[in-house]
Amino acid sequence: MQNIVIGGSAGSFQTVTAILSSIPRNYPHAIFLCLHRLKNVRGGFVEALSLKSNVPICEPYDKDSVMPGIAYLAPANYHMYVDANNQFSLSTEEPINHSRPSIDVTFCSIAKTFKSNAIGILLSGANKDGAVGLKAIKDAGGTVIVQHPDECQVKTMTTAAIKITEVDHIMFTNNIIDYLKNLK
Amino acid sequence: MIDEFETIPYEDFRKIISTVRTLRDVDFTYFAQDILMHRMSRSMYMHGVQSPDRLINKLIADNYFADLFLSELFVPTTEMFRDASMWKFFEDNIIEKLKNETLCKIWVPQICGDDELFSLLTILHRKRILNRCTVYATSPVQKILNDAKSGYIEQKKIEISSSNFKKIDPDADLNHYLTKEDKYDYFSQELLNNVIFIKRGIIGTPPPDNGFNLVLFRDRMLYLNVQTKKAVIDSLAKTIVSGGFFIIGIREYLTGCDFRGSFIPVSKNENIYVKK
Repeated sequence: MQNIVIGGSAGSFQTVTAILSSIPRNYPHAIFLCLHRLKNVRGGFVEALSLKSNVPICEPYDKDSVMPGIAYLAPANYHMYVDANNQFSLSTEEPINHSRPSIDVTFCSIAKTFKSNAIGILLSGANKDGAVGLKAIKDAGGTVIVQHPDECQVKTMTTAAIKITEVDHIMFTNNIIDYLKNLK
Repeated sequence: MIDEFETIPYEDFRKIISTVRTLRDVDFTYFAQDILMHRMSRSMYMHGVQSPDRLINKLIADNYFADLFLSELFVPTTEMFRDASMWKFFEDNIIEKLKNETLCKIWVPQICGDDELFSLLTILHRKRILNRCTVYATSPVQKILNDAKSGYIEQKKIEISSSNFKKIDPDADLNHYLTKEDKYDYFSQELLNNVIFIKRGIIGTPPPDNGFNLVLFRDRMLYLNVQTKKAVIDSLAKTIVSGGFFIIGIREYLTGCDFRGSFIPVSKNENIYVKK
């Protein structure tokens, strides 16, 4: 099983929706979504993403186990880790890059836990959150993909990542989708 | 230079835990490991400590730093009235039941940051039952207790806390509960006078009392490993009276705990339980 972690902020919602609506049902890999969102709005995001998604989407509870074929969305106002036992650890630690959930936290945790079985994808966003985490995935032997800055509504996040990491792929949304559909 | 997300080698990680236990008698082996490691590397990064060995030397040589480091390993709460809908439910539904008690015993274990405690005191005061309540706040770290006793509130938390408070009652004004001294904001000492602060952990130590009508333990289990979480819930559950309430964080659950069957959910959304 591969572990795909997608981070995004401003301008990423449409791309995430396109990805989730294109990957096949019974997808054999686990998907982790860390998307910047309003801190104090608990409901609605899962429902919005689920409208067109082919895979079930849920916000994990603390200590839930990771299962393939499910997209896990980091809950509002919590950082999301995945530990060595393949269980979620949620945390109310301080915001990082003004964000909770922080993409760096989730990416670094996925890097540490899944190493070469991690695939990090960073999408459009308005701050540098995710850049350090993407580098951690690369350094741990995983594969890293960045949405093409020309396609990003806001390219701050992706250009920050490209600056500090030799990414494996810079792709447009359609190419990201093809990559994920063909993933063994 | 260590960075905030540095993975501390496991052997060094164990050495740091052991040093803290020897110096301050606080056992972190029950913590969720990944989060604890992040707390350590974050603290080292913030204080410019460049290696685990240097950290250990500094902990041994510098009492002030050791206290600070210890308090930074615990994860603080985020703001007052976090999950405003929970506090609204609490005020509208649970307080009415607590009002039936002549004397009401409440325990807030493992405080860190004081937002949950201050939120609780504010609601109890608003509903005019604070004077009939004995509130215990416990932590194994004296610095955390001292910080809470002082009533100090970080300026950056006030806006979001006020906004949350208004979701409970649009006419509510958090400023009524705050005082300003030398540019800093403090929670009302008058309300804090009702709290008994006790230095105490939640593992291997007796509770501060028994027969609680309410145990408020939101987002504290997040930082415990699975085995400890079960033991802690079972131990807290024993201290609650029949008809008493147990409140946990909205992304936590009681599954796997022996006492799970002893509780009935009052609100599944807000994770509020009542003991049978």
